[in-house]
Amino acid sequence: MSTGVTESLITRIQKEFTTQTWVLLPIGIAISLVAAYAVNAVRVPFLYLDALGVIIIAILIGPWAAAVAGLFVNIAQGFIVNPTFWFYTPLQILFGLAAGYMAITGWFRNIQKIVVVGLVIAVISIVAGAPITVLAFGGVTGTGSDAVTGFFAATGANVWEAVIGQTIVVEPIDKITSAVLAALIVKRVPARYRPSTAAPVFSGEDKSDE
Amino acid sequence: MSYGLIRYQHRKSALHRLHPLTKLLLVGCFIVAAYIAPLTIRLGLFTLLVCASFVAKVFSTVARAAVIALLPLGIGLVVIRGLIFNAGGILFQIGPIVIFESGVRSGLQFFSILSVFVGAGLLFITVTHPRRLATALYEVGIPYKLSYVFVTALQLVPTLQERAVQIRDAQRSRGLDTSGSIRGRIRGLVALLTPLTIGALITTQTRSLALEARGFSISGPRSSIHGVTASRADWATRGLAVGGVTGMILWSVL
Repeated sequence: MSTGVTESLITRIQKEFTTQTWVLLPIGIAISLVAAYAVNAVRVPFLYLDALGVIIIAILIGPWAAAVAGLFVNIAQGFIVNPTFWFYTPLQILFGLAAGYMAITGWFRNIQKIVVVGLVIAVISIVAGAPITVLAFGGVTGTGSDAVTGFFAATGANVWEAVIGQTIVVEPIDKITSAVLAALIVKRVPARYRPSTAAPVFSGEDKSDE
Repeated sequence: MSYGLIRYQHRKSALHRLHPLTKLLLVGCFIVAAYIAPLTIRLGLFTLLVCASFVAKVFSTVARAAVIALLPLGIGLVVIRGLIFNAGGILFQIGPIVIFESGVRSGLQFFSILSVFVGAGLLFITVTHPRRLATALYEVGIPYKLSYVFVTALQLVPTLQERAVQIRDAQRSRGLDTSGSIRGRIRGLVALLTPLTIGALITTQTRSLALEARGFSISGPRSSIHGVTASRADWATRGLAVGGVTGMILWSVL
Protein backbone atom coordinates (compact mmCIF):
# COMPACT_ATOMS: atom_id res chain seq x y z
CA MET A 1 0.00 0.00 0.00
CA SER A 2 2.70 2.47 1.07
CA THR A 3 4.84 1.39 -1.92
CA GLY A 4 1.90 2.23 -4.19
CA VAL A 5 1.52 5.66 -2.61
CA THR A 6 5.27 6.29 -2.94
CA GLU A 7 5.21 5.19 -6.59
CA SER A 8 2.24 7.44 -7.36
CA LEU A 9 4.00 10.33 -5.64
CA ILE A 10 7.18 9.74 -7.65
CA THR A 11 5.11 9.52 -10.87
CA ARG A 12 3.36 12.78 -9.97
CA ILE A 13 6.68 14.52 -9.30
CA GLN A 14 8.21 13.17 -12.55
CA LYS A 15 5.13 14.33 -14.50
CA GLU A 16 5.55 17.86 -13.16
CA PHE A 17 9.18 18.32 -14.20
CA THR A 18 9.15 18.69 -17.99
CA THR A 19 11.49 21.05 -19.90
CA GLN A 20 8.68 23.62 -19.94
CA THR A 21 8.54 23.40 -16.14
CA TRP A 22 12.28 24.06 -15.81
CA VAL A 23 11.80 27.12 -18.04
CA LEU A 24 8.77 28.32 -16.08
CA LEU A 25 10.49 28.03 -12.70
CA PRO A 26 12.99 30.92 -13.12
CA ILE A 27 10.17 33.05 -14.60
CA GLY A 28 7.97 32.35 -11.57
CA ILE A 29 10.84 33.20 -9.22
CA ALA A 30 11.65 36.42 -11.10
CA ILE A 31 7.93 37.39 -11.07
CA SER A 32 7.87 36.99 -7.28
CA LEU A 33 10.91 39.23 -6.95
CA VAL A 34 9.73 41.90 -9.39
CA ALA A 35 6.21 41.90 -7.87
CA ALA A 36 7.73 42.43 -4.42
CA TYR A 37 9.72 45.37 -5.80
CA ALA A 38 6.76 46.83 -7.73
CA VAL A 39 4.53 46.77 -4.68
CA ASN A 40 7.28 48.48 -2.75
CA ALA A 41 7.44 51.19 -5.43
CA VAL A 42 3.71 51.99 -5.34
CA ARG A 43 3.78 51.83 -1.51
CA VAL A 44 0.71 49.75 -0.75
CA PRO A 45 0.77 49.00 2.99
CA PHE A 46 0.88 45.38 4.21
CA LEU A 47 1.30 44.04 0.70
CA TYR A 48 4.49 42.19 -0.31
CA LEU A 49 3.38 39.79 -3.10
CA ASP A 50 6.63 37.82 -2.80
CA ALA A 51 4.60 34.58 -3.01
CA LEU A 52 2.90 35.61 -6.28
CA GLY A 53 5.23 33.72 -8.62
CA VAL A 54 5.17 30.61 -6.41
CA ILE A 55 1.34 30.55 -6.47
CA ILE A 56 1.34 31.05 -10.27
CA ILE A 57 3.69 28.04 -10.63
CA ALA A 58 1.47 26.08 -8.21
CA ILE A 59 -1.57 26.70 -10.44
CA LEU A 60 0.23 26.17 -13.75
CA ILE A 61 2.28 23.09 -12.82
CA GLY A 62 1.71 21.66 -9.37
CA PRO A 63 2.93 21.45 -5.78
CA TRP A 64 6.43 20.06 -6.26
CA ALA A 65 7.45 22.50 -8.96
CA ALA A 66 6.00 25.29 -6.78
CA ALA A 67 8.05 24.01 -3.85
CA VAL A 68 11.22 24.24 -5.98
CA ALA A 69 10.21 27.78 -7.02
CA GLY A 70 9.64 28.58 -3.35
CA LEU A 71 13.08 27.24 -2.45
CA PHE A 72 14.74 29.65 -4.87
CA VAL A 73 12.56 32.76 -4.35
CA ASN A 74 14.11 33.67 -1.03
CA ILE A 75 17.59 32.46 -1.97
CA ALA A 76 17.51 34.71 -5.06
CA GLN A 77 15.91 37.57 -3.10
CA GLY A 78 18.73 37.23 -0.57
CA PHE A 79 21.21 37.52 -3.45
CA ILE A 80 19.57 40.64 -4.90
CA VAL A 81 18.13 42.57 -1.96
CA ASN A 82 19.70 41.40 1.31
CA PRO A 83 20.60 38.07 2.94
CA THR A 84 17.93 38.27 5.68
CA PHE A 85 15.48 36.67 3.20
CA TRP A 86 17.43 33.38 3.32
CA PHE A 87 15.99 32.49 6.74
CA TYR A 88 12.42 32.58 5.39
CA THR A 89 13.11 30.00 2.63
CA PRO A 90 11.11 27.15 4.32
CA LEU A 91 7.99 29.36 4.27
CA GLN A 92 7.95 29.73 0.48
CA ILE A 93 8.44 25.96 0.04
CA LEU A 94 5.39 25.34 2.24
CA PHE A 95 3.39 28.01 0.34
CA GLY A 96 4.20 26.22 -2.92
CA LEU A 97 3.19 22.78 -1.62
CA ALA A 98 -0.06 24.06 -0.07
CA ALA A 99 -1.10 26.19 -3.08
CA GLY A 100 -0.13 23.38 -5.49
CA TYR A 101 -2.17 20.71 -3.73
CA MET A 102 -5.12 23.07 -3.39
CA ALA A 103 -4.84 23.94 -7.10
CA ILE A 104 -4.94 20.31 -8.26
CA THR A 105 -7.93 19.63 -6.00
CA GLY A 106 -9.94 22.48 -7.55
CA TRP A 107 -9.50 25.26 -4.98
CA PHE A 108 -8.94 27.92 -7.65
CA ARG A 109 -12.35 27.41 -9.30
CA ASN A 110 -14.08 30.43 -7.77
CA ILE A 111 -13.28 33.53 -5.74
CA GLN A 112 -14.54 32.13 -2.41
CA LYS A 113 -12.27 29.10 -2.71
CA ILE A 114 -9.31 31.27 -3.75
CA VAL A 115 -9.81 33.37 -0.60
CA VAL A 116 -9.60 30.11 1.41
CA VAL A 117 -6.32 29.26 -0.39
CA GLY A 118 -5.01 32.70 0.61
CA LEU A 119 -6.08 32.10 4.21
CA VAL A 120 -4.39 28.68 4.32
CA ILE A 121 -1.14 30.21 3.04
CA ALA A 122 -1.52 33.01 5.60
CA VAL A 123 -1.92 30.45 8.41
CA ILE A 124 1.27 28.69 7.24
CA SER A 125 3.01 32.04 7.24
CA ILE A 126 1.82 32.82 10.77
CA VAL A 127 2.69 29.39 12.21
CA ALA A 128 6.07 28.97 10.49
CA GLY A 129 7.06 32.62 10.00
CA ALA A 130 6.55 34.01 13.50
CA PRO A 131 9.16 31.68 15.11
CA ILE A 132 11.72 32.70 12.45
CA THR A 133 11.01 36.40 13.04
CA VAL A 134 11.32 36.07 16.82
CA LEU A 135 14.23 33.62 17.11
CA ALA A 136 16.38 34.74 14.17
CA PHE A 137 15.55 38.46 14.01
CA GLY A 138 14.55 39.32 17.56
CA GLY A 139 10.97 40.14 16.55
CA VAL A 140 11.50 42.52 13.61
CA THR A 141 11.28 42.16 9.84
CA GLY A 142 12.78 45.47 8.70
CA THR A 143 9.55 46.29 6.82
CA GLY A 144 6.50 48.49 7.45
CA SER A 145 4.92 45.58 9.36
CA ASP A 146 7.22 46.42 12.28
CA ALA A 147 4.92 49.39 13.00
CA VAL A 148 2.13 46.88 13.77
CA THR A 149 4.51 44.83 15.95
CA GLY A 150 5.43 48.09 17.72
CA PHE A 151 1.74 48.85 18.28
CA PHE A 152 1.17 45.46 19.94
CA ALA A 153 4.38 45.89 21.97
CA ALA A 154 3.17 49.29 23.19
CA THR A 155 -0.09 47.73 24.37
CA GLY A 156 1.84 45.40 26.69
CA ALA A 157 2.24 42.28 24.53
CA ASN A 158 5.42 40.20 24.84
CA VAL A 159 7.63 39.67 21.79
CA TRP A 160 5.82 36.45 20.69
CA GLU A 161 2.36 37.99 21.12
CA ALA A 162 3.41 41.16 19.28
CA VAL A 163 4.89 39.26 16.32
CA ILE A 164 1.98 36.80 16.09
CA GLY A 165 -0.46 39.72 16.35
CA GLN A 166 1.38 41.50 13.53
CA THR A 167 1.35 38.43 11.26
CA ILE A 168 -2.38 37.87 11.95
CA VAL A 169 -3.06 41.45 10.78
CA VAL A 170 -0.69 41.53 7.81
CA GLU A 171 -0.46 38.02 6.35
CA PRO A 172 -4.13 37.40 5.38
CA ILE A 173 -4.19 40.72 3.43
CA ASP A 174 -1.01 39.87 1.55
CA LYS A 175 -1.67 36.18 0.91
CA ILE A 176 -5.34 36.55 -0.15
CA THR A 177 -4.32 39.34 -2.54
CA SER A 178 -1.47 37.17 -3.89
CA ALA A 179 -3.77 34.16 -4.46
CA VAL A 180 -6.48 36.25 -6.19
CA LEU A 181 -3.93 38.09 -8.32
CA ALA A 182 -2.20 34.82 -9.30
CA ALA A 183 -5.55 33.30 -10.34
CA LEU A 184 -6.49 36.42 -12.36
CA ILE A 185 -3.14 36.39 -14.15
CA VAL A 186 -3.32 32.65 -14.97
CA LYS A 187 -6.90 33.11 -16.20
CA ARG A 188 -5.68 35.75 -18.66
CA VAL A 189 -2.84 33.63 -20.08
CA PRO A 190 -3.99 32.45 -23.53
CA ALA A 191 -4.94 28.73 -23.37
CA ARG A 192 -2.33 27.69 -25.97
CA TYR A 193 0.47 29.07 -23.77
CA ARG A 194 -0.74 27.33 -20.61
CA PRO A 195 0.98 24.03 -19.76
CA SER A 196 -1.18 20.87 -19.92
CA THR A 197 -0.73 20.52 -16.15
CA ALA A 198 -2.50 23.85 -15.42
CA ALA A 199 -5.30 23.61 -12.83
CA PRO A 200 -8.73 25.08 -13.64
CA VAL A 201 -9.09 28.72 -12.62
CA PHE A 202 -12.47 30.51 -12.32
CA SER A 203 -13.90 27.68 -14.41
CA GLY A 204 -16.47 26.02 -12.21
CA GLU A 205 -14.92 22.64 -13.13
CA ASP A 206 -12.98 20.47 -10.73
CA LYS A 207 -9.84 18.92 -12.20
CA SER A 208 -9.82 16.26 -9.45
CA ASP A 209 -13.13 14.98 -10.80
CA GLU A 210 -11.74 14.41 -14.30
CA MET B 1 11.96 51.52 -10.61
CA SER B 2 15.45 50.09 -10.32
CA TYR B 3 15.91 47.82 -7.34
CA GLY B 4 19.16 46.04 -8.11
CA LEU B 5 20.76 46.84 -4.80
CA ILE B 6 23.52 44.26 -4.75
CA ARG B 7 25.32 42.37 -7.43
CA TYR B 8 28.56 40.48 -7.94
CA GLN B 9 31.49 42.94 -8.17
CA HIS B 10 34.24 41.82 -10.49
CA ARG B 11 37.63 42.52 -8.83
CA LYS B 12 40.96 40.75 -8.47
CA SER B 13 41.39 39.73 -4.85
CA ALA B 14 42.21 36.70 -2.71
CA LEU B 15 38.58 36.56 -1.60
CA HIS B 16 37.32 36.52 -5.18
CA ARG B 17 39.73 33.68 -5.99
CA LEU B 18 38.51 31.43 -3.19
CA HIS B 19 36.39 28.42 -4.20
CA PRO B 20 32.64 29.37 -4.02
CA LEU B 21 31.96 26.50 -1.60
CA THR B 22 34.74 27.74 0.71
CA LYS B 23 33.00 31.13 0.77
CA LEU B 24 29.62 29.47 1.33
CA LEU B 25 31.09 27.53 4.26
CA LEU B 26 32.58 30.75 5.64
CA VAL B 27 29.18 32.47 5.51
CA GLY B 28 27.62 29.52 7.35
CA CYS B 29 30.34 29.63 10.02
CA PHE B 30 29.99 33.41 10.43
CA ILE B 31 26.20 33.07 10.84
CA VAL B 32 26.52 30.28 13.44
CA ALA B 33 29.24 32.25 15.26
CA ALA B 34 27.12 35.44 15.20
CA TYR B 35 24.32 33.67 17.07
CA ILE B 36 26.43 31.80 19.65
CA ALA B 37 29.43 34.06 20.32
CA PRO B 38 29.53 36.74 23.04
CA LEU B 39 29.39 40.43 22.06
CA THR B 40 33.17 40.98 22.09
CA ILE B 41 33.82 38.12 19.64
CA ARG B 42 30.89 39.31 17.51
CA LEU B 43 32.50 42.77 17.29
CA GLY B 44 35.75 41.05 16.31
CA LEU B 45 33.95 39.12 13.57
CA PHE B 46 32.34 42.33 12.30
CA THR B 47 35.74 44.07 12.19
CA LEU B 48 37.12 41.07 10.28
CA LEU B 49 34.29 41.41 7.74
CA VAL B 50 35.01 45.15 7.30
CA CYS B 51 38.73 44.41 6.74
CA ALA B 52 37.87 41.58 4.30
CA SER B 53 35.60 43.87 2.28
CA PHE B 54 38.47 46.40 2.01
CA VAL B 55 40.86 43.65 0.90
CA ALA B 56 38.29 42.50 -1.70
CA LYS B 57 37.80 46.14 -2.85
CA VAL B 58 34.03 45.95 -2.36
CA PHE B 59 33.70 47.99 0.86
CA SER B 60 31.53 50.80 -0.57
CA THR B 61 29.09 48.35 -2.23
CA VAL B 62 28.81 46.20 0.89
CA ALA B 63 28.53 49.21 3.22
CA ARG B 64 25.77 50.84 1.14
CA ALA B 65 23.72 47.62 0.94
CA ALA B 66 24.34 46.88 4.64
CA VAL B 67 23.04 50.30 5.71
CA ILE B 68 19.87 49.86 3.59
CA ALA B 69 19.26 46.38 5.05
CA LEU B 70 20.30 47.04 8.64
CA LEU B 71 18.87 50.50 9.34
CA PRO B 72 15.17 49.47 9.45
CA LEU B 73 16.09 46.31 11.37
CA GLY B 74 18.11 48.33 13.91
CA ILE B 75 15.38 50.93 14.45
CA GLY B 76 12.76 48.17 14.78
CA LEU B 77 14.88 46.18 17.25
CA VAL B 78 15.64 49.15 19.52
CA VAL B 79 12.04 50.43 19.56
CA ILE B 80 10.19 47.10 19.80
CA ARG B 81 12.53 45.45 22.31
CA GLY B 82 12.75 48.78 24.15
CA LEU B 83 8.98 48.68 24.57
CA ILE B 84 8.89 45.02 25.63
CA PHE B 85 11.93 44.07 27.74
CA ASN B 86 11.57 45.64 31.15
CA ALA B 87 14.29 44.71 33.62
CA GLY B 88 14.20 48.04 35.44
CA GLY B 89 15.30 51.49 34.30
CA ILE B 90 13.24 53.74 32.04
CA LEU B 91 15.21 55.34 29.20
CA PHE B 92 12.43 57.74 28.25
CA GLN B 93 8.67 58.07 28.31
CA ILE B 94 6.22 59.80 25.95
CA GLY B 95 2.76 59.68 27.49
CA PRO B 96 1.84 56.01 28.00
CA ILE B 97 4.71 54.78 25.80
CA VAL B 98 7.74 53.70 27.83
CA ILE B 99 11.11 52.72 26.37
CA PHE B 100 13.13 50.58 28.78
CA GLU B 101 16.91 50.75 29.07
CA SER B 102 17.26 46.94 29.24
CA GLY B 103 15.13 46.58 26.11
CA VAL B 104 17.30 48.99 24.14
CA ARG B 105 20.41 47.08 25.31
CA SER B 106 18.80 43.80 24.21
CA GLY B 107 17.89 45.38 20.86
CA LEU B 108 21.47 46.53 20.31
CA GLN B 109 22.77 43.05 21.23
CA PHE B 110 20.50 41.50 18.62
CA PHE B 111 21.49 44.19 16.14
CA SER B 112 25.14 43.12 16.51
CA ILE B 113 24.12 39.52 15.58
CA LEU B 114 22.25 40.71 12.49
CA SER B 115 25.15 43.00 11.51
CA VAL B 116 27.54 40.04 11.35
CA PHE B 117 24.96 37.90 9.50
CA VAL B 118 24.06 40.59 6.94
CA GLY B 119 27.72 41.66 6.56
CA ALA B 120 28.88 38.09 5.87
CA GLY B 121 26.02 37.49 3.45
CA LEU B 122 26.60 40.71 1.50
CA LEU B 123 30.33 40.15 1.28
CA PHE B 124 29.70 36.62 -0.03
CA ILE B 125 27.27 37.91 -2.68
CA THR B 126 29.58 40.68 -3.90
CA VAL B 127 32.65 38.42 -4.25
CA THR B 128 30.98 35.25 -5.62
CA HIS B 129 29.82 35.01 -9.23
CA PRO B 130 26.46 33.16 -9.26
CA ARG B 131 27.55 31.10 -12.27
CA ARG B 132 30.73 29.93 -10.50
CA LEU B 133 28.64 29.07 -7.45
CA ALA B 134 26.22 27.08 -9.61
CA THR B 135 29.14 25.20 -11.23
CA ALA B 136 30.66 24.44 -7.82
CA LEU B 137 27.32 23.14 -6.54
CA TYR B 138 26.91 20.95 -9.65
CA GLU B 139 30.38 19.50 -9.06
CA VAL B 140 29.37 18.35 -5.56
CA GLY B 141 26.26 16.61 -6.90
CA ILE B 142 23.52 19.26 -7.01
CA PRO B 143 21.48 18.62 -10.23
CA TYR B 144 22.46 21.04 -13.01
CA LYS B 145 18.79 21.84 -13.65
CA LEU B 146 18.57 23.41 -10.18
CA SER B 147 21.69 25.48 -10.94
CA TYR B 148 20.01 26.55 -14.20
CA VAL B 149 16.91 27.72 -12.27
CA PHE B 150 18.99 29.75 -9.82
CA VAL B 151 21.25 31.45 -12.36
CA THR B 152 18.44 32.14 -14.87
CA ALA B 153 16.18 33.60 -12.17
CA LEU B 154 18.93 36.05 -11.17
CA GLN B 155 19.45 37.00 -14.83
CA LEU B 156 15.72 37.45 -15.47
CA VAL B 157 15.09 39.92 -12.64
CA PRO B 158 16.74 42.98 -14.28
CA THR B 159 15.09 42.11 -17.63
CA LEU B 160 11.64 41.91 -16.02
CA GLN B 161 12.33 45.10 -14.05
CA GLU B 162 13.11 46.95 -17.27
CA ARG B 163 9.95 45.57 -18.85
CA ALA B 164 7.97 46.65 -15.76
CA VAL B 165 9.21 50.23 -16.17
CA GLN B 166 8.19 50.21 -19.86
CA ILE B 167 4.71 48.88 -19.03
CA ARG B 168 4.27 51.38 -16.18
CA ASP B 169 5.24 54.30 -18.44
CA ALA B 170 2.94 53.05 -21.21
CA GLN B 171 0.02 52.70 -18.77
CA ARG B 172 0.67 56.17 -17.34
CA SER B 173 0.70 57.69 -20.80
CA ARG B 174 -2.80 56.22 -21.22
CA GLY B 175 -3.94 57.96 -18.04
CA LEU B 176 -3.38 55.33 -15.34
CA ASP B 177 -2.79 56.87 -11.90
CA THR B 178 -0.31 54.86 -9.77
CA SER B 179 -0.32 57.36 -6.91
CA GLY B 180 -3.08 58.71 -4.69
CA SER B 181 -5.59 56.41 -2.97
CA ILE B 182 -4.75 52.83 -1.94
CA ARG B 183 -7.42 51.57 -4.34
CA GLY B 184 -5.85 53.50 -7.22
CA ARG B 185 -2.41 52.17 -6.35
CA ILE B 186 -3.68 48.56 -6.25
CA ARG B 187 -5.37 49.10 -9.63
CA GLY B 188 -2.06 50.41 -10.95
CA LEU B 189 -0.28 47.37 -9.56
CA VAL B 190 -2.68 44.94 -11.28
CA ALA B 191 -2.37 46.90 -14.53
CA LEU B 192 1.41 46.55 -14.26
CA LEU B 193 1.75 42.95 -13.10
CA THR B 194 -0.79 41.32 -15.41
CA PRO B 195 0.86 42.16 -18.78
CA LEU B 196 4.32 41.72 -17.24
CA THR B 197 3.58 38.19 -16.05
CA ILE B 198 1.60 37.12 -19.09
CA GLY B 199 4.36 38.42 -21.38
CA ALA B 200 6.96 36.43 -19.43
CA LEU B 201 4.85 33.26 -19.44
CA ILE B 202 4.27 33.48 -23.19
CA THR B 203 8.04 33.31 -23.80
CA THR B 204 8.30 29.88 -22.11
CA GLN B 205 7.55 27.83 -25.24
CA THR B 206 10.30 29.57 -27.21
CA ARG B 207 12.71 29.18 -24.29
CA SER B 208 11.80 25.47 -23.92
CA LEU B 209 12.53 24.84 -27.60
CA ALA B 210 15.83 26.74 -27.37
CA LEU B 211 16.88 24.68 -24.33
CA GLU B 212 15.89 21.39 -25.94
CA ALA B 213 17.89 22.33 -29.05
CA ARG B 214 20.91 22.61 -26.71
CA GLY B 215 20.31 19.18 -25.16
CA PHE B 216 18.81 20.31 -21.85
CA SER B 217 17.06 16.97 -21.20
CA ILE B 218 19.99 14.75 -22.18
CA SER B 219 21.37 12.87 -19.19
CA GLY B 220 25.06 12.48 -18.41
CA PRO B 221 27.83 14.68 -17.01
CA ARG B 222 28.08 18.36 -18.03
CA SER B 223 31.12 20.52 -18.45
CA SER B 224 31.32 24.21 -17.64
CA ILE B 225 33.34 27.10 -18.97
CA HIS B 226 33.68 28.27 -15.34
CA GLY B 227 36.13 25.72 -13.96
CA VAL B 228 36.36 25.79 -10.17
CA THR B 229 39.03 23.95 -8.21
CA ALA B 230 39.83 24.10 -4.52
CA SER B 231 43.39 25.25 -3.77
CA ARG B 232 45.47 24.68 -0.62
CA ALA B 233 44.35 28.09 0.59
CA ASP B 234 40.74 26.88 0.27
CA TRP B 235 41.35 23.77 2.36
CA ALA B 236 43.24 25.81 4.98
CA THR B 237 40.40 28.37 5.15
CA ARG B 238 37.79 25.60 5.43
CA GLY B 239 39.74 23.92 8.25
CA LEU B 240 40.17 27.21 10.09
CA ALA B 241 36.47 28.14 9.75
CA VAL B 242 35.14 24.74 10.86
CA GLY B 243 37.70 24.52 13.67
CA GLY B 244 36.87 28.01 14.88
CA VAL B 245 33.14 27.48 14.92
CA THR B 246 33.47 24.02 16.54
CA GLY B 247 35.64 25.57 19.25
CA MET B 248 33.05 28.30 19.79
CA ILE B 249 30.23 25.75 20.09
CA LEU B 250 32.22 23.66 22.60
CA TRP B 251 33.12 26.80 24.55
CA SER B 252 29.47 27.92 24.75
CA VAL B 253 28.28 24.42 25.77
CA LEU B 254 30.95 23.65 28.38
